[in-house]
Amino acid sequence: MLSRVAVSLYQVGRLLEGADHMARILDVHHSVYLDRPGDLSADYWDRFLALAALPAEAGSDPGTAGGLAVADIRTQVARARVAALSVRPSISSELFEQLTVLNWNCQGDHAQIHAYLTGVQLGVQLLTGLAEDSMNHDEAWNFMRLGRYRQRAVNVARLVTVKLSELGDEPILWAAVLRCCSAFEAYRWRFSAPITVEGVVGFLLFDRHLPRSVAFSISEALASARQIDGGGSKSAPHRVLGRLAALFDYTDQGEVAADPSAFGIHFFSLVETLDRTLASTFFRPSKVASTSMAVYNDQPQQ
Amino acid sequence: MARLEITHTTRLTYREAIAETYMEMRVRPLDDGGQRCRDFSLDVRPAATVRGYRDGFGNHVLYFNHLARHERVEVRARSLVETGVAGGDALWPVFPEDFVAFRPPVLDLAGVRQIAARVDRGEDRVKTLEALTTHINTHLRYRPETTDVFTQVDEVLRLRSGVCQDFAHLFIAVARSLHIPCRYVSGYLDPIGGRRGAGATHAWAEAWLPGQGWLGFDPTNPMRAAEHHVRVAVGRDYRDVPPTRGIYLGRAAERMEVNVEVRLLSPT
Repeated sequence: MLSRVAVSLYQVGRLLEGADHMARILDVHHSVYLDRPGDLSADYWDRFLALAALPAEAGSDPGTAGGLAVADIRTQVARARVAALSVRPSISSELFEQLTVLNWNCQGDHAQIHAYLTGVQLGVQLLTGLAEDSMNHDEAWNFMRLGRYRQRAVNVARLVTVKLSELGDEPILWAAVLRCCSAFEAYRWRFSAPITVEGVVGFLLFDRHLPRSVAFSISEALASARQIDGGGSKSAPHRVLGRLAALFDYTDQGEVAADPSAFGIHFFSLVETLDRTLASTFFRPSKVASTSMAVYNDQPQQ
Repeated sequence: MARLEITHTTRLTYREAIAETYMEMRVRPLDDGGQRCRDFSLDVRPAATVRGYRDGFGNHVLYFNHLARHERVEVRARSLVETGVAGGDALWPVFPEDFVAFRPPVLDLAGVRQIAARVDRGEDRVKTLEALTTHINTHLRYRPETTDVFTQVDEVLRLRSGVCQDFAHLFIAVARSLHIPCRYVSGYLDPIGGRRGAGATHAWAEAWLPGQGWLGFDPTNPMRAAEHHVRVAVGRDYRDVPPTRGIYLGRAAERMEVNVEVRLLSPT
């Protein structure tokens, strides 16, 4: 597969996952804000923007924060569509047409914020289903999937590690963290006990069956890397994903709750290595690109 | 119906050896919009394996790598095309909304909007586009080598001259400022009757109108695109569809020679 095709497909997966996550965390933060306006800290929306990695000025209000998050969703979906357009033959018509619909809907009015954000989430879920059921499960599909699960793992790990350092042990706020990952009901089905910090952290980071847990996401990304490699030797990204999977196999959950920042540093440094090896192995493998001696020769028209 | 035979030769020569040439070519005529490519062959020297794919606009893209040292690259494409035929490859989905936004070299400028106001015929969009075709041809001088492949619409308005690429870009800018989806077409033109654009690939524009689909306008000549025009690739602007685009490794300067011969085999 051409490297530019691989990177575009990977970006489609990442950007759609990013838009979905942004829509969900904004929706949940809005709900919490409306439910408990008196109980929240003054910098609630500043913290939201920091969590979402959006530029923030002190004293953000829901309107400002929501506007920034919606703009980010629009950008991510529009970029996903442009990336998909550039590799149109590698994806199904159904997927591309639905991505066009989502892009169109995303650029519209967001005055009814809950309906808008729900629409984004359902739109992305529809695309995930279309990718699953209308594309060959080949290299192209695996690159999209690799992007999606890489992004999901990073988003959820970031959410958990940030919230561990911010929140106390109030069950309602941790229930909101679960809802940020569509995991509240799954948690209640699994555990009859009350919502606890340790329970939520263990569930979102280490659970092997929750499709939005970090361990699950890494495991799926590893499966895609294995498929992309075929039967040959393990590529560098494959090996890094293996190390990430081992991190979740052997880390003590209690240690993470006690020192989330140490776990975060370790995890994100491995993700950085993953990004670097993906780039050098699949996305920019040519020596030409890195030598800066390449010259364009576009043919003029008359 | 017309049958046209096209030979398109591109020669790249270098003063000293280069390596790792990678070239993408959009030189195979399309099978849609009233034309059919009956035969196509591509000869690449030094010999290389040519592969292909279809890009996001449905264009045929052929590409090759040549890793060893070389001082010359020659690509010869031969096509036999029937124009003015019904049907074609209608399965490739196109979205007019992809062709309404401005991006360099197609810019939204005051000068563009002035032309739009002058040629606007209200509800009759076809008349508007025909007036635009005539306006550009009348007010711009066709002068090869005054512009290059990177020239943007602001420069074209300033110089009031250019080649088919510049005429097409200005046409697209004005059409888009009137909210008409408009795209760039790269192709060949039968030069019979002294039409401009012979000897190289040609460019014109297609505008999308509800109920009528894509209609071709050639502001360089000026005329509606018809059987004399062979469509090779479509895109938002030239940057999406250069006939050849490539990179190579090396310090040597490049010299490009292009020759296009279009022969009308059987006119109606």
